[in-house]
Amino acid sequence: MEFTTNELIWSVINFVVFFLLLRRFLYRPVLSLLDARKAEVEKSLEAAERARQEAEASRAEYERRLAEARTEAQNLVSRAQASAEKTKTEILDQASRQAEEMIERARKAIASEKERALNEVRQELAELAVLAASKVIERSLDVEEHRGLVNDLVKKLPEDTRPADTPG
Amino acid sequence: MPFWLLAAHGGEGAGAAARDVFFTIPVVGLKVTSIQTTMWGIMLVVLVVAWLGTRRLERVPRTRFQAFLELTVDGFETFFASIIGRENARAFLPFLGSLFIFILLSNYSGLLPGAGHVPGLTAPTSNWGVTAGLASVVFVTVQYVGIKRRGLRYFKHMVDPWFLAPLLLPLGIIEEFVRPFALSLRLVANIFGGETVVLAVLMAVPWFLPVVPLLLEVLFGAIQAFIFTFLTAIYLATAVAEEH
Repeated sequence: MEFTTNELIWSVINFVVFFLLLRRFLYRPVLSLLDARKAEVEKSLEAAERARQEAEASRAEYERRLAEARTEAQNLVSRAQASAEKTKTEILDQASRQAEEMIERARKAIASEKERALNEVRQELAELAVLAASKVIERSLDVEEHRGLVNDLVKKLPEDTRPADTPG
Repeated sequence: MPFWLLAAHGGEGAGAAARDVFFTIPVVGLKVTSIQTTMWGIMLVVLVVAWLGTRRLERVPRTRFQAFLELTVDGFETFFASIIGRENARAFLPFLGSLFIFILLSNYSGLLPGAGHVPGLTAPTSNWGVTAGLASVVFVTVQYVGIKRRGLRYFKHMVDPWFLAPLLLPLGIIEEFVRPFALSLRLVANIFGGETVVLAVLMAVPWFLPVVPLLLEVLFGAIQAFIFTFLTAIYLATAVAEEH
């Protein structure tokens, strides 16, 4: 172990040169590379996180829309059901009203037809009666006498076959 | 008998080869010895490795070589960051890392066969001049960095509180100069001592037994390089630290 100034001076020179060259050829390039890589990794992680969030958001949006569409469809169906129900009731009502009207009309027609037929029958009967009577009495009565005879006859008819408009 | 044992028997201690002067640089009068050639060899190997490794750095490392260099630099940074904080570690990394590599390989060069006895190969750190030179670089760097970062406030700890300044100032100045002295002496004593032990065991029992001190020297060489760099890191961090 010895101390020599020569070695001291040399080691200072050598180390300073070594340090400067190593800084230039090793530390600076490698450190800047590591920094760049670190920045890149951070950037990628950030981008991945952003993409994940975006996917999450669009998934939520999609689900929201799906739920909306489902509700909408449900509404449509129930509205259609309600409206169909209403229409059905309306049609049924109308049909039953019409049917009733038709029955009513038919009843009226039948009644009036019956009336007419009865009148006709009465007329026939009256004429026949007149004819028979004239045949019997062999003389013709004037119209006024006929009418009086008919009316007498009608009055003798049973109550229920009497025409409605005939005064009692 | 191996030639280095012959040389050892010749009674020359380690570091004797430092006296083999290959040539003297004219005008400045600096002598080139085995210690210088060993330092140059170490520098050349490390710089060539660094240059080859960083010629084509790729964003995604494709070679183990690049991965190794990245691991080394990143490992240094992480390690120093744990002692002096990330910001300081980044700022002083090239200095501390270079110091560590330089000292470590200098220590290990003494474990090569024939170190100290074949011309051109002597562990630089077994010479006090070399460790004193490294400690001087550390001393100057610490003062420079401290003054550059903090200006006159760098000297504040020597005169604070003011009424103790007459006592503190000489102590502070002495401390600043004791540090590099201790740094250099600790390193050279350990390496020189280790080499002497290895040599002694080698002379006594040439076979098998020297493996034990040799393995210990591998450990101590790393520990001494570590301690030197570690203390330097702390001196630098203290020099730039703002008092609270």
